[in-house]
Amino acid sequence: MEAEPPLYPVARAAGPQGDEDPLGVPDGQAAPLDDLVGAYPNYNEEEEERRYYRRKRLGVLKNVLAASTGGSLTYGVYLGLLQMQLILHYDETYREVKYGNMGLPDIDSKMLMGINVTPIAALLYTPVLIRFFGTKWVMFLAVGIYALFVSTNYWERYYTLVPSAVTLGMAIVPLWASMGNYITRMAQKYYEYSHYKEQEQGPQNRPPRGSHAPYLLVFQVIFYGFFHLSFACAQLPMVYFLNHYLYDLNHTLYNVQSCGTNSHGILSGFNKTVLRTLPRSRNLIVVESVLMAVAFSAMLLVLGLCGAAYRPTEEIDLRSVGWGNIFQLPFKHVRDFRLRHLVPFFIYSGFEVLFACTGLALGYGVCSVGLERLAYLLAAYSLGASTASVLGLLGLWLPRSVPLVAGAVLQLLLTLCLFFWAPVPRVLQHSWLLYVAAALWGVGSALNKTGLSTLLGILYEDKERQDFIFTIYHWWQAVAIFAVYLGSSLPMKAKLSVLVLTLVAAVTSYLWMEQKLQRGVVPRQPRIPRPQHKVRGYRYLEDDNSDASDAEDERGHDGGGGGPGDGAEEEAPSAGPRPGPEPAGLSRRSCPYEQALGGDGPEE
Amino acid sequence: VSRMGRPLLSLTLLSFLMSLGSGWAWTTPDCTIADSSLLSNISYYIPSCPLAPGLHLFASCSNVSDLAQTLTALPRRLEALCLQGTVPVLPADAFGHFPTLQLLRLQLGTLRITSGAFQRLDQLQHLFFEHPTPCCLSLLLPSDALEPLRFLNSLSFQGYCLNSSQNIQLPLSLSRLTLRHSCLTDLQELQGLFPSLVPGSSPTAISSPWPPFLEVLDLSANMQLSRVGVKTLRGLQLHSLRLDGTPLSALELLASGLLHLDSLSLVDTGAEKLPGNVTAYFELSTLDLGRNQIQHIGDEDLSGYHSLEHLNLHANGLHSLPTRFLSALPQLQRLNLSMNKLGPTLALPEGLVSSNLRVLDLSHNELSALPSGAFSSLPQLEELWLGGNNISNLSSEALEGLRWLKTLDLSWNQIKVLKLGWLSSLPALISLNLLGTYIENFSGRLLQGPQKLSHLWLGSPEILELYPPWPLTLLSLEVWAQSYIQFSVPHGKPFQFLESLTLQASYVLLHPGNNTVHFPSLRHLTLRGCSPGIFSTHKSQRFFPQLHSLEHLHFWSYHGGTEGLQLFGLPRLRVLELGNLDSLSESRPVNLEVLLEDLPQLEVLALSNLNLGNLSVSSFRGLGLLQLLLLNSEWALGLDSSLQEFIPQMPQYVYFSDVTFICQCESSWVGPWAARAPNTFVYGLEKSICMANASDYFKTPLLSFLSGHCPDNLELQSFLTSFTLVVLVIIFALLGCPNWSWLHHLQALFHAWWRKLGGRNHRSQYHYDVFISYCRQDRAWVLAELIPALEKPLPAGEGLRLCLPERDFGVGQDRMETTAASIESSKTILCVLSHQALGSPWCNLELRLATYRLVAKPGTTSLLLLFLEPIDRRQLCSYHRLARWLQKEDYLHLPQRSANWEAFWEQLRRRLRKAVQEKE
Repeated sequence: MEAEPPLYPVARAAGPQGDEDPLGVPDGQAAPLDDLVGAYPNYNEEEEERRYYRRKRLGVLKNVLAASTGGSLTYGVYLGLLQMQLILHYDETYREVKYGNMGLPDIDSKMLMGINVTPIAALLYTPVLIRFFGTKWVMFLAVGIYALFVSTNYWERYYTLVPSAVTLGMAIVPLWASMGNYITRMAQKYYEYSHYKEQEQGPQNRPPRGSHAPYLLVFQVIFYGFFHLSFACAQLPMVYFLNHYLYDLNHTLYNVQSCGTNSHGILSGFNKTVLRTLPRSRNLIVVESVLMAVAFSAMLLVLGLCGAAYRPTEEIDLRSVGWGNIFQLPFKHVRDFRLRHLVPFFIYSGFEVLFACTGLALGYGVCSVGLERLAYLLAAYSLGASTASVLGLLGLWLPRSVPLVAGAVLQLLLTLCLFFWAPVPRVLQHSWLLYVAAALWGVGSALNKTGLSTLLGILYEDKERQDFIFTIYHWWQAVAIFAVYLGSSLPMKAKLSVLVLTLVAAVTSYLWMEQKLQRGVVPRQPRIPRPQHKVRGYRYLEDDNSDASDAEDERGHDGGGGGPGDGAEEEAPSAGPRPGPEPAGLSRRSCPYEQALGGDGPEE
Repeated sequence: VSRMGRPLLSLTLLSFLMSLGSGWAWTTPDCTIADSSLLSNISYYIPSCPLAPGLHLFASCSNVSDLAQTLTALPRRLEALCLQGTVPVLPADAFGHFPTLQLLRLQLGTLRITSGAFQRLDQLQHLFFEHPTPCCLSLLLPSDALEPLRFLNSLSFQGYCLNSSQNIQLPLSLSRLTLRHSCLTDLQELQGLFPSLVPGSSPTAISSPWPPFLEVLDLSANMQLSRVGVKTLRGLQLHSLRLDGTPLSALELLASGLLHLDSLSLVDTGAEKLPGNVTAYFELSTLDLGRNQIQHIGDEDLSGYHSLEHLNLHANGLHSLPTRFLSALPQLQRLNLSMNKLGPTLALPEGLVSSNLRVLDLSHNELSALPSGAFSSLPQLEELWLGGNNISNLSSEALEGLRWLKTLDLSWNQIKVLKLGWLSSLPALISLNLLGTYIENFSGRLLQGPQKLSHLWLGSPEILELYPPWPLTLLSLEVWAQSYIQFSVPHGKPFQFLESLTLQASYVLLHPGNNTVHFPSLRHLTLRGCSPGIFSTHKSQRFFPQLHSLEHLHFWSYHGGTEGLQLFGLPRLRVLELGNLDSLSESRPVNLEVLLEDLPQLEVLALSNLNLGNLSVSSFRGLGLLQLLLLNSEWALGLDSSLQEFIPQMPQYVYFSDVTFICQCESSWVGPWAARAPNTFVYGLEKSICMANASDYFKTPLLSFLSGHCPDNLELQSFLTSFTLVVLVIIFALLGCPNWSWLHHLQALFHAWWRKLGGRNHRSQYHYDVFISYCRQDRAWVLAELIPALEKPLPAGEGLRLCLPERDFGVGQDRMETTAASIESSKTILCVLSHQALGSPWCNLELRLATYRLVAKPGTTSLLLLFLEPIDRRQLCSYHRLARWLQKEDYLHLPQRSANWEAFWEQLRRRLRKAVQEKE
């Protein structure tokens, strides 16, 4: 830009929206700068402002894209590696020749247990982690842990694989919760940057409820479009590497008797040897290095291109509500009937994605058309899901429940069809049916995932509780995945019945919730306590009243009124008896006495 | 075995990982596992296990010392197992892994068997305890040890002394009991050992519903067995008794209590007379008297032999047979008179024409002439063995009357010429052996007479030319000659039904050279010493055009390997044994890829003494059904790393016998493969040596070379590198992120600690002890009171180096910068505060800088506030109220009355002294 870009933002940064420069420069010193800027003859403030916010919006878009690609690459690498290693380790010859008496099946089962069981504990630490490090940094850390997992697969031993799997299990919920939070937050930011005029006119007014929903919808569509592509990316190691080594279905499925709805467990009777020739360790290292490089670049992508989700002051505020409160708040959100009603849907959301990967792809797919077509089946699922994510945009015009219920109904129909379908092993005539089923299931998945995430973003607009909500969402998914892991040896019919029951329960419960909201039932939300800054450190060198930052000001009138509720109409009844503190928050910090009145006083 | 040779990143980390890493374990170091149904002469190449008929899958282990470890590596479906080594105790349920085991042969030295040792061996039929050198090791067998063996058929103890065992319960199914080379001296000992065998004499024996029955009792080679107790074997039903090589007198058997005996073997007992009364008493049907001293048999000796059906007088030095011989033995069917001295002219005793004799063995008797009608008294004769004699002339008259003769063996005789029609009197002849004779031209017309001749052996020392016509019934033909065999090609298809052909000669020729000879039904072909041209790529040299039914090919060539050899047109070949007999000459490398290109059905491949060079995947392309690969006597064999990929499709049995490898890391995959590949049994690697180049005669064992010189730690390196990289990126990114106060605090603490660690070197950075900040209004008091109290040398003042902005700042210096620098280089900052000072911008600046320094770099400086007058806390900037950074003694209030000043100075000095000392 011809108008000297670096100067202008600095000048603007004094305003409430400056998030580039945490140390606000006192107003007094800005005066000479104004003179300097004024020296330009053709200075058009309106135009410059417009450009500035356009840059900001582009930055938000960049953040969304970077986070989506980063997440998708990470997950793709992780899935691809896991899939490849499990297939390799399944092969008896490979295992014995390469690892001998190391007990690899035992290590693998422990590894899977680590990945599946550890997330159960995530509810305890995820919010603390997110608040302590910040959303972006948790994303970065979790992606780093995924990369560490990839790295340990070079040297497969008990003491590398199992600890890294446990660590990975710990990182799953934080990663996806912070991703969801991040995307939602970006939508809100985008809304702020595109409606800066309204903000300027009335900085005290909150944006109208649901105003950021369209952006949220688009961003979630982008995110899940990328995310579902990761399943396809995960197939690349198989397509380009492992498939050359596999036996065809006549060998691998020689003893398989029944498939699909008649099958028990995962692929019973599957041949113990699946590798026609053994991959050389040097080739394996090359493949793992490629995966490692991708994981590493995903790390750098998240580190370098993802901007912070909050302003630094906001982060400090988020952190300052007291660790005890942060720990408790996810549990307190059970009071909210909306979340309670959505829990079956969360569980179903975990079920369905795992069913696609194990039940459908293995029990129906590999069982009948052989291991060599697994990659293409999952790719069909992935591409179906990725393209169908666009259908999430229907929410822009239709009621928000429509895409979600449509996905559920699609999957319900598919499940019922699968109930009566037992593909014949080693017969390829019906393989197109499998691909269609996988792709359709992907469509359902996409509608489910985008719908749920958007719904959460719309229902819980205030940034103080988004991380809790997304933690709860992904925690329930993790619980569902754990349940699938436990029940992997059940007969297929039992799995399908569980799936159908959960789905029906989820849809009913969700529709009931929507109906309750229509009736105007006000949900009870736990109050988020006021940030309580500890007297510490350099912050106090900046300004005498730095405690009352702009974030504090916002909080003052967002939350000060009825507590940090989503809006007046949804405020929890507990907030009813104390409408008092509203004017108090405007100019000064509330004193401990006032906070003590507020019920959820800070712990420290 | 350490997998890591070079240190990588850190020695400690490596040693940690090394201690955890698992080494290679050689699970079956001395075991051979083989399936004899694949290659029948497998025992020629590798240590084998003598098998019973019908058994194929066997394991043979030598040098066993840890039995359990050896057995865990063997496949469950073994049928036969041979163990050789030293195992003092056979533990309970030792062979429970092998439910299908049918034969067990133990050579384990002195052995104590626990009572449950043979549990779960339901199908075991043969159990052998053997010790190679004769008598005797002790063997302790508990009485109930054999009880679980419900189908045990034969039990053998060889070279063991069973004196310490008593009361052994034998399974009911036992039919064959052998006690050879043991310390048995008296047959009576059998009662104590096997009470169930001889129930009549043992009071403690459990009465069983069945009378004890044995097919064979073998007590041969018991050098001390000389006594037979009276009625010791009473009650035992026995078919056959072998007492070969024992000093036992046959006569004593009469008193042993045995009621019935069919067969008695008395080989090598030094007998000089026929044991006539024993034969008569038991009405024996079989009597074996081989390798004895019976040189003469008189007619009187032959009483009581009516029942005898089989008589063996092999190697007795017999000169003649008594005239009544055949009539005294009316039931005789099989008579073995080989290696006696019945020559030079055969004189068979005249006998009844209706003699039952079917088999007569007269080989190696120095016979030179057969009188005409020599066998006319034996019309029922079916087999006649005349090999190894000096017969030169054979006429049809000599063989007259043998209408039923099926087998005639004339090998290794001096026959040079045969007349046409010499076989005319043998219409039933099936097999004829003429190996080792001197017939050089053999015409098919010589074979006229017999209608069903199907097996023929021909041999001559130098050359052999074969002429048609050939009997159509011929199934098997073996031809030997030293230099060449020439086939004259007839019209039609002479070998229409020939299934097996063996040729041993340097060259095999066809008479009209451009013609071919067809073998449409040939299944087994054995070639010894032939030039590889017989399978040449050139059609003109090729002897065998197409062998559509050939399944077995054994080809041993003499002429420098297999040059020009190409096997095609053999669509059904299953077994290929290929070798070079000439072990001295350096043959040219064999290209297996070309050789085996077109053998889709090949299951067994045995290669001996061929210069194979480097084996790679391409050598075995198209051999999907290969089950056994045997490499024998190879020199400088390399195994390519591309074979590593081929591991899942490797043949089930791979044997290396007497193979020298090339020392190269390309083959480092061999170790884990041989030790651990499931369903592949590899033999011979652990004994193999390798050599670095042709002149290397230092015998490095292959596996120790591979483990010592071929470290494979690329995986570990990549893991450590990528892991460290990721961890470093995470740590530096976290450290570089400016948003966390705790991080800054940590950083500052670290800085302070570092500085403290650095110690005295940083002393020079302090130019001043105290920086004094004051405003113009307080200058008078400072100059008059404060400076002297602090700056004066010790007795009066403190002797501190003070920094006063007005005094110590240089002329022309920027005051801001100098203030900052001076504060930086002072150990303590003393701010003199009053209302005026708080109003002064410079004082405020200095105070701010000092506070900043205090907070940002804790531990480098200390801040003291000196209040000249009472100041309300609110008037002080908020950051000076920070109780966290300033301690109580850092606030100093100047007493209003100057009388108390002395104490105040003292307090101030003490505080300053402390602060200054802290910094030092």
